[in-house]
Amino acid sequence: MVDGWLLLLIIYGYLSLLFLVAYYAERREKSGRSLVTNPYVYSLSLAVYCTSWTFYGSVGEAATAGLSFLPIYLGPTLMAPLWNIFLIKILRIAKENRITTVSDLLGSRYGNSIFLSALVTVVTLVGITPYLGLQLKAIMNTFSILAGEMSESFAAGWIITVILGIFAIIFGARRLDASERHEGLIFAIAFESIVKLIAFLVVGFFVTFILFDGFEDIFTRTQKSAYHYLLSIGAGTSVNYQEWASLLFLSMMAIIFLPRQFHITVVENSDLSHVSKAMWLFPFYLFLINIFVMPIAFGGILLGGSQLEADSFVLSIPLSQGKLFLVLLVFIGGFSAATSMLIVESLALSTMVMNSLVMPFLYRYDQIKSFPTLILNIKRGIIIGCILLGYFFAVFIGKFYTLVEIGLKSFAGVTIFAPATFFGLFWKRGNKNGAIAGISIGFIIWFYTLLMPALVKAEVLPDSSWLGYIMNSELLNPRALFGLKGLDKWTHFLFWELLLNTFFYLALSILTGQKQEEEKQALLFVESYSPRMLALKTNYNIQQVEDILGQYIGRVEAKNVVDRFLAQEGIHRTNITEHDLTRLRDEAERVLSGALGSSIATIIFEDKLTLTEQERGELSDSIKQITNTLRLSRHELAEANRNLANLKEFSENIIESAPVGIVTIDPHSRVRYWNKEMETISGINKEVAINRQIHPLLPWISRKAWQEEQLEEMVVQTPSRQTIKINISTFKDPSGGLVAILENITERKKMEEQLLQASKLASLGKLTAGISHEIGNPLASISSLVQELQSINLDTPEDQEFTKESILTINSHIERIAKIVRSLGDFARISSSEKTLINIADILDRTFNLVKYDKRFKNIEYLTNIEPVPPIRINQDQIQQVFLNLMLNAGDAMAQGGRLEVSIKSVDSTVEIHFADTGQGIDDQVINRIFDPFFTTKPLGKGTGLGLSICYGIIKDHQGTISVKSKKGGGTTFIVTLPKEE
Amino acid sequence: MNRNNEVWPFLFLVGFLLFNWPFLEIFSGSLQFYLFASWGFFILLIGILLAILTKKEPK
Repeated sequence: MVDGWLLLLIIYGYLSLLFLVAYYAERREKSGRSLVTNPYVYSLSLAVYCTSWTFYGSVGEAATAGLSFLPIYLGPTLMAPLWNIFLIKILRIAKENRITTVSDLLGSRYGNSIFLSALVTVVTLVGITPYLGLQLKAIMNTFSILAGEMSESFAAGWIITVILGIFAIIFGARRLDASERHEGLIFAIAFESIVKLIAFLVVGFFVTFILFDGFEDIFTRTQKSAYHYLLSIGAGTSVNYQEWASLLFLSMMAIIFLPRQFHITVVENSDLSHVSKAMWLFPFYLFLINIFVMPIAFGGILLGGSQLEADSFVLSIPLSQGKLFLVLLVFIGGFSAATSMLIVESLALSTMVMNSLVMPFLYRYDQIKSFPTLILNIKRGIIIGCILLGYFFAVFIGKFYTLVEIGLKSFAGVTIFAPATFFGLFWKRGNKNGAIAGISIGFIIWFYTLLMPALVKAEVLPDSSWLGYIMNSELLNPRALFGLKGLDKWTHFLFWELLLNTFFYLALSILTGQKQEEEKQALLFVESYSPRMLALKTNYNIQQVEDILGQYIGRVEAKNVVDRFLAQEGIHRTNITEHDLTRLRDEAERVLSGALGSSIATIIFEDKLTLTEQERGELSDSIKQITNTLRLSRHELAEANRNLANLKEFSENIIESAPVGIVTIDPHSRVRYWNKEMETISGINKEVAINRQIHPLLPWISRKAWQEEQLEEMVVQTPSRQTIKINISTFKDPSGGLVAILENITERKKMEEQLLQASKLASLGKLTAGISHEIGNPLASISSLVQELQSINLDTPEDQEFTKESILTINSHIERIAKIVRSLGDFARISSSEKTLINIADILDRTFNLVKYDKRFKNIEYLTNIEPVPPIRINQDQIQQVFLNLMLNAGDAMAQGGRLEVSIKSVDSTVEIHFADTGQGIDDQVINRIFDPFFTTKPLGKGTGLGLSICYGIIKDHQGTISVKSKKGGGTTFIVTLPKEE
Repeated sequence: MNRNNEVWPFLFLVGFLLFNWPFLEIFSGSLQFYLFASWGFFILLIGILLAILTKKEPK
């Protein structure tokens, strides 16, 4: 036994130590050397989750129901991986929108609704009261275990409650805080987390390794005892799998929605990056503090303890062993666990009550003298009130339930906010009506299925009369609503609460509309949209902002806030810009939100700094514009997306189906696109070609060809003897690069060559008559001379002379014939495609040597005017073909005789050859068509119409030009230009 | 959601499976050891993934 006054002294001493720790941390913060802005303190402060429920209740639960205590800690561990997604989102939104409580979060999301905020506050207050009672019950129980008599314990309970209330005020309500963050409190909570962890580990070590021989010993002995069922879950044990899953879910929601958890996790967070460390540090803390729960629980039973008193095994075991130091350490640990919860929870609750229930009525009375002091005193009163509510619950109802049972009721209570919160963060259509309906029905289910049976059991509510009749009915039994039996009470509650809550939330959100304010807030929350874009013109000044702030937090504090802001931004009071003034107002609103809640702070500033009609209009227009722009329906977007995809596919099909190779390269010569035809031309697949350098893929195209300054059409031969025409041009895409079109003209080239050959033979054919005459004459002469030679003797000198002269003549004729045949042979052979440097005048001579045999040229005067020109690179057979065609056409035009004048001259970078005749000329109506294939003015059978089109093709191949000037009856001049060699 | 964020819901699902039926039924023979071992492993996995993803993030 320990003296009660000693225990009170220890309590007082420990609380004073906590206060000093908090004070030290605040001093460090003011001097700019904060102890709190690091992830380790943040993670330790999250351990406020571990209350006397963990310290005592878990052991009690393990001793009575085995492993069912564990889901309470596995749940937060399971949620930790998701913090990177939704907790970060909540943190950003909270900081951006100056949110300080869960009621603020929901009220703000659903159109800054004060009613919803108030509803959430009432639900939380009712839901958390049992949890507050749990802590006080644990403290009073442990006090009575150590100090003994119940009556003194009752008085001690009162004293402890009052002391805790005072300390809660000292920690959280010394002043109407300008900032929602309390560095001193956080550091104290982190300190307490270490104290309770050490205390539990020490007593756990003592029981496991001093009183027993380790984990193996305890579990083996338990397995062999009548309590072996405590080591299992499922059928035949105290907890089945569905209850296990329900408990897991409850704790997953609790780690977010319990007011103290929200306050520490969200409001007290100083840096988003701390969340990453906390994601594993906090679960690790939970792991450590639970290692010895089962050894202590089973150890207590094995040492003869009663399962009914298992909640206090942590204390009673060392007490029974006479380890006073350990007992006091455990007492402090347990007290620490309870205190941190009570202080933070009451602070969070008081902020909710102030912001959502009190200030909406009170803020209009800011003209009351000492208004800030009034607000502060009200907040202090609310803190005391919360703790007292917990006390009354502990005294009148708590005795009927274990700590865990009480705590789980509170866990279940905050689960009510889950649908409205999660849908609210990710679904824009969720509206206020849905949230109110969902939360209301959820609260009714919670109250009816969980709290009311407790109130009836504690005889706070009568069991008889109409209430008892309803609760005992088949349809409305709180343990089996609508006849649904076979579920444990937590699963039963969760099923109906989530089903009806979600149903009503979704139904009303879909069936009812949103007001403009709700739409705007939905955008802010779901899209994490920064509200700064809606900044307005200012019609207020610094002093006005300071005055408004001063009305609620005091003049001195308000001046400090303004001065601090101006100093941080380097702004002078007399020289503040409109933009900076808006930011000052934002800062002032943020500060006031910490004291009064964001909704009220917004109203105060909007009320005091009245918007002009124009500004209201501008604000309304801004919001309308944004919502209209963003109102492009999913359907329209999907439709646009489909059209885009179809267009893309269509364009790609065109390119893939094209009978030419298309390749695009980027500015670094890497292939970006390679169509199907390119695979055929190059033999290289698209997958191999993409992102490769173009040169190794197409080595038969010179590198110079890909240089942008030298883009031109060219014809190349591939190693596989394909003739490819290539057009390279600049790619008109923002990414730049080149696009090359490759056309396989091998077959066309072959056909052209065959056509050329046919044309040559056709030309030859025209010359046949003249040539046969030219060959026939000398042959006839040769024949005649041979006959004469056969008949003479070579006796006389005259005969010898005749023979000599005849042989010379025959030789001359043979040479002449040979020359003609050679010319024909040279002309008729299949021409090569090679271009060589040659004197154009030689080609002209050779051509004339052919045509002169034509009888038409007997009557034609042939004149030449050849100026000195440099040799040019041409295919001599093809150019001879052109000259022959032009000369024969001239001959056709001068059937009755005339003059053909051919001149060659140099003009700039070209050589010009003119073929001017004095023939019948060409009609104006047909002159533009003479180069068209198969166009002829000659009677049917006399011309194919291909001669000039072949000439045109040949000259174009030589990068030259061919043109015509003619006048009907006035002759025709063909002008051929060929480029000089560079 | 970028690839980094996809890891976390996946890890959540892994944990959900580890801490529920049927794994609890499979390891019912030594459930307390299984639960603490898998709990420790899950925390370790969170830590390792955080270390890897933090390294991958551009500065």
